[in-house]
Amino acid sequence: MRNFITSFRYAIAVFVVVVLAALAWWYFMLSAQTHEIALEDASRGSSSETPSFKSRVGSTYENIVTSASSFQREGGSAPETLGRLAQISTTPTAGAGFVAEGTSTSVRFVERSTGYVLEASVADGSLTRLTNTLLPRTYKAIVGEESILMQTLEESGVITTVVGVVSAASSSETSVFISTKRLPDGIRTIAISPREKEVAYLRSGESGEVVGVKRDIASGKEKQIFSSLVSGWRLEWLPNGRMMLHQDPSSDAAGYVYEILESGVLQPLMRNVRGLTLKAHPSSRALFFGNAESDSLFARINDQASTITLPIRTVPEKCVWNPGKNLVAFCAVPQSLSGPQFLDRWYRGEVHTTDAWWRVDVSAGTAELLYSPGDRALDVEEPVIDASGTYITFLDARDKSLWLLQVREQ
Amino acid sequence: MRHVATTLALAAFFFASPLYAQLDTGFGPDLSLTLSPHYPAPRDVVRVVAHSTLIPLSEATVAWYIDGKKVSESIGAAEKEVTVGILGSETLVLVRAARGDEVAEKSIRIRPTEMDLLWESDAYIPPFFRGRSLPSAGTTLKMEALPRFKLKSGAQVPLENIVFTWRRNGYVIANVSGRGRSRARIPAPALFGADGISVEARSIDGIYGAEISTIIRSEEPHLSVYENHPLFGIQYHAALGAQNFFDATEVSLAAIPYYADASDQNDGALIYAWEVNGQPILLDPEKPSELTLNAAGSSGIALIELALSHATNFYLNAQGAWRLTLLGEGSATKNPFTR
Repeated sequence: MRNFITSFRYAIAVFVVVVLAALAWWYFMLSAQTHEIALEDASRGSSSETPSFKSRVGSTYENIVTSASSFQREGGSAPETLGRLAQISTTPTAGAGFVAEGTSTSVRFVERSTGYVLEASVADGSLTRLTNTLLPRTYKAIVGEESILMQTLEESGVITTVVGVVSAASSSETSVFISTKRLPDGIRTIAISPREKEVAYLRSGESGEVVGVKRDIASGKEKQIFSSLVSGWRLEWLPNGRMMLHQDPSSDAAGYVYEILESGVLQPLMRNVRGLTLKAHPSSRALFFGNAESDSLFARINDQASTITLPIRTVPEKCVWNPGKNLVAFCAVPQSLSGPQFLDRWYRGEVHTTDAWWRVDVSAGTAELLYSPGDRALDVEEPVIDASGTYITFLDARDKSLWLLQVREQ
Repeated sequence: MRHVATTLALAAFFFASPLYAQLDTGFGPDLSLTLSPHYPAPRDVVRVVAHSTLIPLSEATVAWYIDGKKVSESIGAAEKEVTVGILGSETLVLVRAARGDEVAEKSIRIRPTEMDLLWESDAYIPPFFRGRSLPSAGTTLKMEALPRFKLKSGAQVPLENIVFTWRRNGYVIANVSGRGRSRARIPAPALFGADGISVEARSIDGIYGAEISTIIRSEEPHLSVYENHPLFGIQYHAALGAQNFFDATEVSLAAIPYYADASDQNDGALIYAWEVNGQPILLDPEKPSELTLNAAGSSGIALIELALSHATNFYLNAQGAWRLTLLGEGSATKNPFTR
């Protein structure tokens, strides 16, 4: 009996040792696997670290701020800048705009991968996340002061569009609350009214045509404004209330740009121009335009005025008008527009430019170099200027990263 | 009888106001007017030429009146340049030719018009693409004419009161032409071809007219390959070049067949043939446009070749080749690229 008890004790001791050894082996094996998975994730391009769940503000927020930019994080000092130029976000951005609160100005932008809305102060570089609603693959965003339009691409290829209305938040986690409403699927182009109470977009009609509609954001009421068999259009709603309709351009095809009148009549602004691209002034009848016949940028002060050939070679999509009545604009000017069919190849992402910023005085027909980013290659697109004409934010078409340029001393 | 003839001639003068006048009243010396351009646009300079078979105009005194005001008179002045007004305006041009006892008059009302011709194709372009959908062989052209026939009241002649005649290379396309038919769907030009497409619009009363034409070429479908990032999706802004480096062990690629006869890039009729370093790759039947490369334990350059064809459209043919180097941590020396 005694021998049995002794044997039993030895067996228990051996069992405990084996269990402890197994647990130790399990622990070290898991640690090694976690490290390996993290390495694999990083090597697949997911540069964000594996969530550690150790942060007080949550791993999602940590992941965002680690991917976002040369701007300093919350509570940080002045942003790391390249002279007057700063990179706000290194990861692809869906769209950006300026928001003024009192005397401070921020860049509000939407991350492409998550659809999160973030805000970067231009004064101290602090970065704030405004939303935590995941909208993966948000390819396009239009950012207003009170509203945000976000377009995402579903796995099925369907484009979904939501309009978010920004209001003060009730919780302390975020400074604003964004309530979203889903718009019809398949919207290819959309614009928001100057007062941000309405949107206009194109949707499919019943017999294969596209229908342009205005929609009241609050009530959801739609009003048809025009229809067309041609579906490739871009809508633009200018701050002065004019609504523009640009036919999608191609270097080898004639293009048209119309103003949509209240009656629904399409009044041509420019007709039958090969490779036509156009940027209208936000508060006057002036406009920039380009065509496939020439790399030059052209301007017109009003509908009757003759065409001015400006001394820079670029496309209107790289220009932004200075706010106000003066006919001054800022244009990113490529070192070269790289040959024939530039527009088509640029839109397909096959060619990129290296730009410098120029200040253009349309009234005088002059242009002067404003800022050259040196050896940093920036292919500017979607430039937006703040209301005071001090800052321009834009995307680099190479990687869709978001940048900020100071164009005027404060 | 003479009174009747005079009355009829006067009536023809006052009430007849065709767009282009070649009216021979048959009651005296003939005079007709032709316009160049045939359908003037606003503010165009129009060349008005007088013709007569009975009066030698080179010997006649020809007087020109614009909106009732004499602007010139000289012997043999059989043509006149007139600057027309804006949309909705009318310019009355009257010419009087006299040679001895023979006097002939003719008038014309010039009403400028405009017409736009919009077109695109139904060929595939990816979502959010900012450029035009260009036609390739086998696709359909979507065309729309936008006439602006502005009445003096400011209103437009409604589309249902306009007859549209569509032509391809000068031949009428009957099945898309007709009253109110401002929109047309027609086959795209043949492979490597270019067609001259024109549309003529005339109001049913014959007062207003316009014509516009364009040359449309068939493009070859264009293959571009992009990284399909796990977080960011297809990177449409950065097409792969001839030589590409990825700081990753694994990369997914997506081919986009611009301007192809397809509803999307994974259209069942599209046939993708991927090859990696000369080896054909078995594809995911749901997403044949995509390819994933994993270079774990390998390194070096991968030559990606892609050929695209169509199950029924034998004109669709596109191919491309790209070199990739994956520089991720797991890469070694072998070359076991696999899906």
